[in-house]
Amino acid sequence: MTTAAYILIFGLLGCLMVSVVYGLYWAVRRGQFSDFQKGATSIFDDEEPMGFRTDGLPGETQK
Amino acid sequence: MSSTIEKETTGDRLYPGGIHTDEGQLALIADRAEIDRSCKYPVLLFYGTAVFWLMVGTLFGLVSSIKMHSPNFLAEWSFLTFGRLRPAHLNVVVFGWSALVGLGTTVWTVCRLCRVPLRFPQMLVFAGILWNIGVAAGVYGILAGQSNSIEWIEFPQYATFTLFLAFAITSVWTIMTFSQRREKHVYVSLWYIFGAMFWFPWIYATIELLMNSPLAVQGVAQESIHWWFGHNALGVFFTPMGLAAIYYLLPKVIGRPVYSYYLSILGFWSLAIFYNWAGGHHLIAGPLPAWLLTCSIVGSVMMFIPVITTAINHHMTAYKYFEVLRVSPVLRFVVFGAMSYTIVSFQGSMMAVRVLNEPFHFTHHTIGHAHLGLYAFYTMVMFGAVYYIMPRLTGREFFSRKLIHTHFWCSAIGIIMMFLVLTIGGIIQGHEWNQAGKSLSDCIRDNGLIGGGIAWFNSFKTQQDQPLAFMTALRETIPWLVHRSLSGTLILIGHTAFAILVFWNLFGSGVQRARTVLFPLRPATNDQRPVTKD
Repeated sequence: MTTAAYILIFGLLGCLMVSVVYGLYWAVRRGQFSDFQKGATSIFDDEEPMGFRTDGLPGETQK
Repeated sequence: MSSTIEKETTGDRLYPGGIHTDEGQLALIADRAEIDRSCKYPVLLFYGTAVFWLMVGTLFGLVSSIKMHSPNFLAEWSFLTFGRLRPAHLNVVVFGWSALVGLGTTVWTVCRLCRVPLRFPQMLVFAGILWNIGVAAGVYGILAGQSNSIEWIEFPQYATFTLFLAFAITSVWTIMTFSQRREKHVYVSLWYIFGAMFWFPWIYATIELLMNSPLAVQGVAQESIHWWFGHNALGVFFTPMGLAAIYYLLPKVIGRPVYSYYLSILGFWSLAIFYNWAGGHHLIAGPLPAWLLTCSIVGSVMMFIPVITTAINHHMTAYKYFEVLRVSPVLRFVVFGAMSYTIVSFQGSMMAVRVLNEPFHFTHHTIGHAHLGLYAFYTMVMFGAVYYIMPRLTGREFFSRKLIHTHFWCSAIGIIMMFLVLTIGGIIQGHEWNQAGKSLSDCIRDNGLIGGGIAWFNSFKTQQDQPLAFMTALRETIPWLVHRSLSGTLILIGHTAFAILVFWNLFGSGVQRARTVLFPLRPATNDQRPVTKD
């Protein structure tokens, strides 16, 4: 039983490690690390542009 | 400037989101509204039930805390005895509050970052209901005395399968949303989210199979697997979800990209490599092979790499924008959480070193450290996420500034106080177990406060290897445990304010907004002038 358990846990860990390495490989292949500046600004757009904050206290507009 | 100008329904100020210059921008706004609409019901279900479990977990925690110094408190009912209530507190807070609020935030963030609506949200509503059934069944099991007594996975078997199924559905839906994404770049928050969504089922399946099934292992292997899971639940599930929220909310709220995107990516991959080695440091001085513990200690110390990169990034992003803390509740909670992440991670790596681990192991110091991680870091960040996301889904602002302030200050002061008293009490407890020849209170009585403290420290040098009687050391901790209950009361008050805000917002109170950008956008400096048409 213990042997089966160890095979199971090391099998699962092996799959986990392979998935991490594959994720890294996929990211490099897809150019995810090629333009960091562009990546950093990808959360902004015309509706929520850089330079403007998007949170305030309730009722702030009514001051 | 040709534009369609729309006014806020309740104010007279304009913001860029209301100035439509072309069809593209209109489409952008419509898309975002569609995304928020698609997530609304599952995310609100996750949030609403998470807050319910938060209140239950806080009450369980407070009663458990009181029992530590007043053991006869509510002792006449078996289901309220410490041995049942304390694991119920842990599991409710972990699987009820932390997991549900994290999953709600994850679902919304993935849709926003992938710029696609959620497909078949009914399935996530189903997953949310299933998860809650699992938590309710598990809590019932623990209170009924059916706990399996393994910390972090005390839920009986009949509850765990439901949780696993609910998580699997949420994971698949997240990956499905990602596969349909319209934004090509995978933002750093998504890396963290996918880490959490992908790793947690592995570690949860492993621990359940090897500890809570017919395949269960025994002896030393059992404990090594146990703490491999216990630490990874924090390290590869809650930590990535918390960091994902910080990396999205911090730049988004202040309107400035993260200081170094390169560092953020480095932080993720170094966390992925080092964090899951660290669990063994819980068993230092235990009956495990020395090489196994050394590997864990090395992994723990290597965590300095992701922690330092993340700390630099968070601090430098918020630097010069601390004034915004005054007007942004979200930023307050998120910055508090980010600072706590740095402190708790440094402390964790240091505590893994053998010589520092020895006096702190098994003491209240460790409990203080755990609360610093799961509350001061993770929970505070998630409070920020709820304050940011929820009004955008319900279309209503929270109805009371005062309650938001009450929530923040009670939670912040409460957790700082809890951390300090448990840390100091734990240090005293550890030293008196290990080395001290005289108790601290005896030294203070004989020599005064300062002189007594010095005499107490000196007693380590002169009377080593003469530990105090267990009960003497235990009595020394009682004043610190009483103060822990006071800090817990403060936290309960904060949570009550939060619960009122959330449920009032959920059921219709608060100023209605029609916009997908809820608040008027302002320049992210100290300049408070409204943004108006030029």
